[in-house]
Amino acid sequence: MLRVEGLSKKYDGKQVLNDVTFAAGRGETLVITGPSGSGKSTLLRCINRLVEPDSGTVQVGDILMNELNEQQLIEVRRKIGFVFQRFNLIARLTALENTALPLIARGLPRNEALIKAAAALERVGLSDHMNKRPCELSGGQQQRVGIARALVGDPELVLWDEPTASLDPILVGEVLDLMRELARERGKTMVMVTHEVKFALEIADRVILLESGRIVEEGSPQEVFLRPTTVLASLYGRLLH
Amino acid sequence: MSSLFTGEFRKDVIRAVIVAIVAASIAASAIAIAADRYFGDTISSLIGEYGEYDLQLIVREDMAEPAMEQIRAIVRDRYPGVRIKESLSISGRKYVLIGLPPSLRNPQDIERFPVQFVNIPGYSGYGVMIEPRVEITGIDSRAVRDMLTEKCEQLQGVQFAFQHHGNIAVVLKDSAPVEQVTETISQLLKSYTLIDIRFPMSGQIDDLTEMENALAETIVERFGPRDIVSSSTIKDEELGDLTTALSEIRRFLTYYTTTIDIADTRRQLKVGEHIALASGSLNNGGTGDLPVIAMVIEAGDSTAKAVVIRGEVVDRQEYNAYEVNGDSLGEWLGLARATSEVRRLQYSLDNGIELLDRLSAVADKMHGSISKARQLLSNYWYVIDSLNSVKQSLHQVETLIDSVDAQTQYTSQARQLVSALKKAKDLVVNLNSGLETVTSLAGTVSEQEKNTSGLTRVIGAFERWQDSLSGYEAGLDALVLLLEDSARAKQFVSEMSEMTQSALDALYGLNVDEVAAMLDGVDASLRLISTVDVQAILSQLIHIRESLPSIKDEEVGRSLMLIDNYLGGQVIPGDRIQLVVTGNLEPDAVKQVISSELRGHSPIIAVTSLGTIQPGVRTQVLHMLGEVRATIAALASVVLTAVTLLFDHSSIIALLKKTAASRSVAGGMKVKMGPIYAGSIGATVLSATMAASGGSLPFVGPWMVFFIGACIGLGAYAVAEKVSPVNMDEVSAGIAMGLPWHQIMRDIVIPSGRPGILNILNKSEVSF
Repeated sequence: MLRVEGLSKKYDGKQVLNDVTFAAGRGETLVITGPSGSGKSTLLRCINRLVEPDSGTVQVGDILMNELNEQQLIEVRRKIGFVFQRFNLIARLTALENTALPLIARGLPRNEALIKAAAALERVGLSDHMNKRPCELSGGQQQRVGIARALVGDPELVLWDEPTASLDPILVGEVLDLMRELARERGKTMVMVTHEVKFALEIADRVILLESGRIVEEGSPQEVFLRPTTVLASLYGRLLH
Repeated sequence: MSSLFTGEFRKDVIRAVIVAIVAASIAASAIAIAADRYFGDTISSLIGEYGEYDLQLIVREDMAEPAMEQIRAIVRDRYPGVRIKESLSISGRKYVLIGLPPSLRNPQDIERFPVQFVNIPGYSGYGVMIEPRVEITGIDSRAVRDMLTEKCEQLQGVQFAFQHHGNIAVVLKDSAPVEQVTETISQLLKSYTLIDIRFPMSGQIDDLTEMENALAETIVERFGPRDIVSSSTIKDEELGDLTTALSEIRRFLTYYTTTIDIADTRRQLKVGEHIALASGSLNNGGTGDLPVIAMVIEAGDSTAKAVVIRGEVVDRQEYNAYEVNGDSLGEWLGLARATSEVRRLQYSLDNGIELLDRLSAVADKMHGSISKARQLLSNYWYVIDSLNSVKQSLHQVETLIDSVDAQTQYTSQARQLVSALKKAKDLVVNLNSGLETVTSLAGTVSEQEKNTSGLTRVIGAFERWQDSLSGYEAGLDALVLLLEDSARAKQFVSEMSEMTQSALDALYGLNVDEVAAMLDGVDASLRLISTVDVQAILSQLIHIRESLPSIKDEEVGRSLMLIDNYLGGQVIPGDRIQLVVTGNLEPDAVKQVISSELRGHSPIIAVTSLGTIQPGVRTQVLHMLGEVRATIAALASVVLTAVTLLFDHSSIIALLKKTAASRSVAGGMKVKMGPIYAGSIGATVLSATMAASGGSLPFVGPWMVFFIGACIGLGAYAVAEKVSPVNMDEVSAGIAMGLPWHQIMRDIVIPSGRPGILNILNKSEVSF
């Protein structure tokens, strides 16, 4: 479903990603973890070209992302869900409107879009908060709106960019519960960037450990965290205890 | 991002820009029109409506109250129907508007009207406001003004024309098309060429008329047949008069001021050089208070003439002359002698006045003496007779004394004789007294005056006569006393007879006719003096004495310096020729021809049109108001452009800036879209708004406006993120969920920006 080969990216001369290659199969849940500044979020944003990579290729299904023009890219992005660390909800719109917006972009009639959005919100447990604006919602509720917005278009690929990083510990649980539930459905390919090692061990099919823009460990969660081959992986493994 | 301005959003932007331009133009025009109306109303309230007032009198503001009273009184008495309105005061001058009734709207009355007010308190002149009119200015010569006035009055649409302040006011008929008549007058002015030839003062022309005719012929010969419509030889006018007057004053002052002549200077001095004068010797290089300072006005090889510019000198005194180096003395230059013509004149006048004053009194006294002398001469023969009678009586007494026996008869005869002698004595005494008076009066007259009048000879005759009579008078006194003693009496009578004869001989010796003739001559001289109006001469001499400059030498010197400074900047006017030639001649060619013709005279030649058309005050004010309106519209356009950029486009600019959006251009270079967009929008909005609202700025052309607009755009680019911050998290979400750029703008960026036209128009485009 997703194939990344030789992806590299520099910011102001600093190598943020260095020849990153990996793949994720259809319905697979891939967790990317690593210390801050290791290039996790950049890697995720390069996949849907929110950030343009310097080199390497990204293939989503049969589509080679690098070769798309702007209009084609827009079309492909509609098939990729993206959950942001800071929710990135549109402040002036209600939860329902925020969720319906991707459907409007796809050309769905307004009412139909709103109905589907309502269903998506109901699925994330926000049926009572549909008409509230983001500022009226808690952080966990806002992130659930973000998840509903990412999933409303029924994407084949969902990218999660540290969805719990901006939440206080009390709210982290409700988001993780939702993510766990979605992961169990096994219908979608999900690439998650997270520091939640336990969560990764629980739901991930595979884990990639990034350090300084390079993949240092890759394998099943047990392989990476319980039988680490690197110091970094062993440090992460200790977080499980 | 590159598709942002290629899709639907471009239409949104264009629509917003057009609406903004229209709105800004309407707003700028409204502001300008409001300002125009306000100023227009203000002007109208100050100077009246078009054609409402014809003249304005100007008086000093501090004298406005009494001036207004007098203006009203004069108008009430002499100009019923004239309207008066007090207008504004500017710079201490109060303007009074005058509206003339139709009966007074003619050249004669308009020219005469202001003259009636010249004596009102604080009068400071007048101005012409009559409308509709065309004003022709810059006409140097009265002859040309007269000619043009006459020609203008003959033009169609012209009601009349009059002259004021050296200009011509051409008053049009109310129905006349002003533009058309103005053009006609302009053509009239262009149809002539004025050739003004001035000669320097040093180059006086013997026969100007002949020269003028020769020049006219040359012009016709060189430039083809044409009319010399008006030609005039004009002596100095206006400034020329002033300069001539100053030159004369300079000559007068130079003549009457104290001049310092240095006969043998040690070096050649320069005109304008300062020298120091001291009666004693001064140390070379001395500083401090300088002595008398003089300025050299004429300089030869070894001579110089100077005038005092500081201090005073004494007439006919010698001084040492030194160089002046700043505040110190320099080398000794030579001996200088001061000559004050005015002081010498003062001395002469003082003496002349005294002489004339005394001459009048002396003439009166001499006239009295002549009268007495004439009276004495008339008694002359009577005295002779009396003395003959005495002589006869003495002879009788002598005969009587000889006949001693007849004592009684002697006594009787002696008494008669005494009586006769006393009468004779009285005559002699009177005669003597008269002669004394004449001679004593003559003593009050100076020798020169006596000689001049011939009085000396008369006085000599009278003195001889007086001597004889004095002796005879004494003799008679003694005889009267001795008559009582007959013995001594006989001898004495005999002596008296001789004395009487001697007196008679003296009297006979006087040439009475000659003395009378002399008296006639003296009398004629005195009469001649009396016919001269001595008092008139005296009063005029006193007047001249009083009118002599009472200024100090240094004041005269400094005045000469000032006059020289002024004259130094002027062409000393001499003769002048003005030729008014039909046709528009090439100035350089005319100058060349005339210079060649007048070679050696060094003339100053000016070739110009006859005059210049100047718009009326109201037209100028309206023109000025138009400029103000355009400027206000331009300034409003600038402000509204900035407002449009900040309120409508700042969010777009901020997004472009934040995303560092760029576009490839020729040569592979990438240019940032943010500054390009901001500059383009600014330039477009400002240029279009300025054009649509009729705005303009002095010295700012269309390209400059375009540039200013671009600069405003760049200014907006600099502050856009502060004015309309863009939430990039929302934009990222939009991109990630596959929103096209136009929808990102419509649903995310524009709604969160500042409220403006784009925001209002966008409301119909948002998804929610």
